[in-house]
Amino acid sequence: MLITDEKIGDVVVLKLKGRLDASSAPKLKEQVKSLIGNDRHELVIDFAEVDFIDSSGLGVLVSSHRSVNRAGGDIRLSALQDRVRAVVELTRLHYVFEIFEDAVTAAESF
Amino acid sequence: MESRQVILKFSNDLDYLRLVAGVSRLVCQAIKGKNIQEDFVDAVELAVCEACSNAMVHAPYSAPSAEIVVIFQVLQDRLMIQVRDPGPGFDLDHVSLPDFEAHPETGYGIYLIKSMMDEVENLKDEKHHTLVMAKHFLV
Repeated sequence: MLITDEKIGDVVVLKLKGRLDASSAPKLKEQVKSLIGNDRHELVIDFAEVDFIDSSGLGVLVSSHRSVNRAGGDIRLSALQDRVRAVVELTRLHYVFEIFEDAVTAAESF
Repeated sequence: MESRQVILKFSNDLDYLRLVAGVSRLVCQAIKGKNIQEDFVDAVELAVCEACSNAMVHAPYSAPSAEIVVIFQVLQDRLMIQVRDPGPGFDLDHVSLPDFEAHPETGYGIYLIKSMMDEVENLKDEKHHTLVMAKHFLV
């Protein structure tokens, strides 16, 4: 999985590309941890180019969300493909995360 | 009708998950005359990948050299998949639903597998644990 980041105002948008699974989830966890360490607490994770998520990916989203919340910030999600959205909703995590149609809208919601 | 099967063997390395995903999709897409839709393919891919990563990550005896075996069998009325690992396995009946109020960081895997498949059971012998899953064809 590729992760690129860009800033929209004070918000960091992490753009994921590929599969968020047991193999790639630790990479996202490290990236979020690094951002928290650099005092970046307003994050958007953009799923526009993610076509698969498994339980490990969900777990990293939840743990990252908790870490950012503890630091006083928030993680918001954007552009979930139908398949990914279905898994997020099946596990009720759409009650945990605010989800937006696109990264810009998500960033502007802070 | 004689069943057709595909057997995949690989060592305990999460990098193989992409291979598992690809083979799962190819097996489903190769099934003829059963009105296989995209949601069937997606469900099988997720269930098989979950089962394999579960075997690789959680099985305490899964050394890097441990072999994971996945067997896909196309039967008359369903696709049956076995995921065998050298770990002690777990008791499916004692795996509870995730706590949807607390939103835990772990524990979604078996729930997802059960949600994606029509039948899930596990078998154990002295050396292996096998998760057996099936998804029924619509016609």
